[in-house]
Amino acid sequence: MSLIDKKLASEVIDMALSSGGDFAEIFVENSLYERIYLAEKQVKDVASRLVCGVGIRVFCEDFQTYAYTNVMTRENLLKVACQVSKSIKSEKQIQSMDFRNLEFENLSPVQVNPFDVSKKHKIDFLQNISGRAYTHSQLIEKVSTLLNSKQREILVANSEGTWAEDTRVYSTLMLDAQARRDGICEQAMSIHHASQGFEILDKLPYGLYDFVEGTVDRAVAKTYAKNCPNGVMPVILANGFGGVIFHEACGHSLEARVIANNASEFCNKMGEQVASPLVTAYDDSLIAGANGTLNFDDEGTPTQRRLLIENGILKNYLLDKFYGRKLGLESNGAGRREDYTYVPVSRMSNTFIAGGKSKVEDIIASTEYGLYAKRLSGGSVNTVTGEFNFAVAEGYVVRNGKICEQVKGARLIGKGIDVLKKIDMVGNDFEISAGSCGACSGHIPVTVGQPTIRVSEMTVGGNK
Amino acid sequence: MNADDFIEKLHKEAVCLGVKEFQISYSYYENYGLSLVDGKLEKVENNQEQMIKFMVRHNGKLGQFVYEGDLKLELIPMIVKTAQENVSLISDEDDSFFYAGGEYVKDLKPYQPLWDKLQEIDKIDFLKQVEKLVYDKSSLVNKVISTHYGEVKNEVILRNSLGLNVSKKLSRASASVHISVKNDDEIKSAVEMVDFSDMQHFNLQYLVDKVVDTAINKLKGREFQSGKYKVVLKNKAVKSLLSVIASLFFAQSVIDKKTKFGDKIGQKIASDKVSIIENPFMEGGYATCAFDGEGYPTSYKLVVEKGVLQTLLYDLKTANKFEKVSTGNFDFLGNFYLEKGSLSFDGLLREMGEGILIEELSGFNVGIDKVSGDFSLVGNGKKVEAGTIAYSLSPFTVSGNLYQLLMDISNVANDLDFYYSSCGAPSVIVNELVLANS
Repeated sequence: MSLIDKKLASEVIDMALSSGGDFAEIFVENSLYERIYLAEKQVKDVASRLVCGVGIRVFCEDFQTYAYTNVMTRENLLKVACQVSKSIKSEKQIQSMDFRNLEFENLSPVQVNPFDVSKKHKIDFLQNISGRAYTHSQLIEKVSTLLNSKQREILVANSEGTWAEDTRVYSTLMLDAQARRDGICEQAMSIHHASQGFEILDKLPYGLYDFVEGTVDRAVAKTYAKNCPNGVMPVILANGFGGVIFHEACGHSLEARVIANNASEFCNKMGEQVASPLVTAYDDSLIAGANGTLNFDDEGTPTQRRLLIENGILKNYLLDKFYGRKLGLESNGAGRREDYTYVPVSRMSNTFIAGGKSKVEDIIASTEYGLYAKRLSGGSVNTVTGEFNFAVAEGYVVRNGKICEQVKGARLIGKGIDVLKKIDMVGNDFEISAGSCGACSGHIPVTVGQPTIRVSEMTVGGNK
Repeated sequence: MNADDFIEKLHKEAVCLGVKEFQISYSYYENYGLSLVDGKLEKVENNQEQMIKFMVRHNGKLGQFVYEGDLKLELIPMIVKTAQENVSLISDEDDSFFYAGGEYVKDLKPYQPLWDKLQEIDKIDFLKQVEKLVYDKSSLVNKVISTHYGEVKNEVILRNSLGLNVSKKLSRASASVHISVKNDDEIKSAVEMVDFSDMQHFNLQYLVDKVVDTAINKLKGREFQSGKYKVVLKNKAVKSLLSVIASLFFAQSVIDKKTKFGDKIGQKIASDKVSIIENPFMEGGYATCAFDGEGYPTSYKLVVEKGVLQTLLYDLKTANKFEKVSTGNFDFLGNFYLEKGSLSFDGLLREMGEGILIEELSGFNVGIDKVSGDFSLVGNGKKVEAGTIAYSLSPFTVSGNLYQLLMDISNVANDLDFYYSSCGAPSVIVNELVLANS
């Protein structure tokens, strides 16, 4: 059964267009959330949340108006739609078309719905991995674990006749270990997100042992890490989550909103060299089961694989309906939002630098002195200036072509196009890694990815 | 159904289902926003939402269910039963409590925009004028990326089975402008805002001057040698660090092992120039409120006095665990600030002599390790020579440790500023931080 019947949806859209406008959309959501959190082997929090809401949007040329409510009575929806229409002042141009159900192949089928699994069973699992973490090293003084489950039923209907319904399931598993050795306390965390159900536990990228015992080992190892040296040096970024560099250096700056508003260093650069010729990059919403994958975007547009950069040449932006319109371009299915309380804008999905030809061992061996960033924490960017930064969760000094001592506290800064042009080696060990991205349309699940790459020089900040 | 009726029905159903101790929190939220781009209205938003949080207390544990949506009677049994199921699964060794209500400070005056004056102005015209004046102010202005006006209204009601019944309303308004400036090939940007709490915020030039000066200030940044430097942290940078440092004072952080202050009450944890205050009664404060998130009365407190830790921040649960009295800090931090000193900002620069002025810090989303206190952030600022600002610097990393930083504050200026938030600070001198630049 649909979240809203078609007759009411049609009435709401027509009301929203009653003062004019050339497009209208209704986004309906019914979402279940569950959070189970353990710390020091105790169940600290079991929380449930149900969210129901509607967002109504109208375009009139290069203007849009939006209103959301979670009072979903017919009376209130029509009232909100009427309120939306009052921001439009033009002759009535269109009426809604008959709805056509959007057909699609489900790219992220769920094997075990997490809400079909008892909370006790989930707690038992978390207790088990928590116990394993404590057992693995006597230096561990605190372990916390978290399992988040999310089931979002959504409907997008619009004046063009789109009727797109889907159920999106997400799971997040986290383990955080704190180690103490000789008064030094350090922390390591592993977190895995996926557009999957409870089967996430059997599909961890490197297996459960790496997730649990590996995290403990990393926390303990970090107590031996030295302060990172600072300066300008070559930086080797490992595969998988190393893709944060492209996400921050380039990805956000290709979102249509900042391009349309001339707030990106990638404006007016289509067809130009914006990266090393070794760099080919995609944003691909179609990767089966990946965290950023969608059957259709949050505007009901079918998603696609977008070639962003080819051999260093800029090929595409990420486009949603509204800001694509401002650029004179059609949406390429990149419109996204955290939930109904946000206006959708173009955002990333699964964004990555494609694999190259270099062997990882050659990348390391050819580096006389630099930093090997094995794990990254995340970062941020100012798209206007291109200045971006990210933190290194696990780094090592490279000296004379060998990985040497572990260092901590490294921060890398740079400027988007400048750094992309300095990528001088691209490895053949491509991987993707799941994460979460926060921006003006909220927090959304994404994936970053790359093979091991080397940037010939970046500014590294450290505490040494 | 209106909120009061729903809460009443939820209360009755909980009793019928045998729930002895429960708490209901209701929140209603409205916001309105305008965005202009290139002098034209690009977006208007008009939103409302409501939320019910139902908590059950059983055997000293708490379980909850949060619902955002229509207040439908048929959902009540599900809300109650799910919260009951959740509480039955909790095994936290520390007991949680509800509060029955008590004496509260009255007639508080939290921040409020000057609504009467706001109603007189055409907001779209205000933003259009701001944009025009920004372009008029300097030929270095590259683009007014966007201007924005917003209003927020929020009402919270908190009631429980012990008789607690408190409520509060807050409202906010703001205008902001985002611009870029360009000098040759160099582009910098800035965002500034006003919150209409003062008549000067209605003077267009006030906002225009702020944003253009801030952006131009960042141009012509030079590189410098990476290394250890004596720094002046501008009040804005201190404020952003203090927002993070605040978490170190919560007793919950002691339980979470994310603070080193757990056994330091009465001991020196900062330089004697450092006094930190929490004041939930401050007139015009963003976090001025008589009660915290569990309805307990808030209190003014000297958290750090001349470098000595006076108290941690407790709620009912952590107070019970540590055999203290709640300080009214459940899910709440009142207006929190570093007390100002007597020196002017220019005097601070003169005292430093040679060093770096750090005007802004960013990268807080992943830049702080709360376990060790190590931080590595991104800074913008100026070189200071012979006690005066010499030239701008290109962005740099700033590395240090939060605990050490508190100890290394050697002087504090008198330019306390909250920057339209509930956390404030004056500028300070820090003896040493590690800065890296290209």
